[in-house]
Amino acid sequence: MMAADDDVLVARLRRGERAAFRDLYARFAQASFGYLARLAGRDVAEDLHQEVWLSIARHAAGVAADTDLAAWIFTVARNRFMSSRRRPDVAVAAAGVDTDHAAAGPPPSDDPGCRDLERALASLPDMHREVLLLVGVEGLDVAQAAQVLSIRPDAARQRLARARAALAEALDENEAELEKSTGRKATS
Amino acid sequence: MTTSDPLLERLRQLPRPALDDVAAARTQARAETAFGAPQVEPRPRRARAWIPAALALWGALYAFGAVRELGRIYPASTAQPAVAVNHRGPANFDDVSQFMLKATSNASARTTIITTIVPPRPDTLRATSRSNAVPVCSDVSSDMDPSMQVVACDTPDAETFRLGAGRGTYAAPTAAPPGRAPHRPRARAPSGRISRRDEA
Repeated sequence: MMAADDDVLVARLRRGERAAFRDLYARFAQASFGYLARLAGRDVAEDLHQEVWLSIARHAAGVAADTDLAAWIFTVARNRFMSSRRRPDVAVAAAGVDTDHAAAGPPPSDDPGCRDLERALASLPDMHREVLLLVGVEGLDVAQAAQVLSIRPDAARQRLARARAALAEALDENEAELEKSTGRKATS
Repeated sequence: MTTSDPLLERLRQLPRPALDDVAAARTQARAETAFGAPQVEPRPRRARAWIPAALALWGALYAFGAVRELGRIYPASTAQPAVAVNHRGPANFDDVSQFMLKATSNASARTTIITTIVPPRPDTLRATSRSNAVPVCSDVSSDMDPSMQVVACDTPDAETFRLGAGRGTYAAPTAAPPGRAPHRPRARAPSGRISRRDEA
């Protein structure tokens, strides 16, 4: 995301242009939905996505001139997700994400490498998963991720390193299980 | 952002879960409506402040009135009795005697307890013992139980108050019938000769 594009878009939003809001939605809607789907599961993510964009629409005309749009939108999405976890109905639905994330989250990919990576990502705790989603999947830099997570950049960098190590460990465990299962099939 | 970490690069290549078109269009339409809707401006601070200001003013007046009433009921210093300040005494008093007289006067003024003895005069006594010139007024409210009838008597002052009836004062007519039956002349006995049965 270019900063100059952000500045122009923010200025148009502050003027209340509907076309600017359409551009904002076109640029960030899929990203915000993907982030929510990997955090909360696809079913819950659709409702959360709508709430997130309604909230963004209400406050878009009043954003500050130096707003980082990507960080702002992912912050709104993360806050909605955290609020939804306190609601009992959503918490029950999201509880199934960790156990059966492949069915509730993104659709299964044909590539086995991507499937393993999705499974390993789903097995991580939220604290590690969200920093990997922001930096690895959505392409934010560490400073933007720190802003979204409401932590210092140093802490975000440290959390990213730990999350990356946990993901690598989960991938190794998945490969070991896969080798074990293929070995059983070969012997049988 | 390009990352040199191969694991993060793999994450970057993950397919993004797609939002279906219907949900995306519905969300966009609602969001655009909310974006174009006029924002409800909060009421200005001055318009919102008059209620607490009125409450504060009422509280201040209430507290002032309460303090004033308490001060009236429980005065901080008791009222000093009137003392003759320039009590010089006889003209031939010397200075020492004059000083002692003033000292005695001040001391007695400080230590004298004024006691007012008021004889008890209950309402019944006042109503019965006064002359028939005392009006007794009753006032019954329309919503008051008749048994709660209030009898208001006028307060006698020193000039009009007197015990018993004066000379030439007659008792007030009362509603009760007199205890004694009115005097009626006895019927006369028949004056003629009474015939007897055996005579017939």
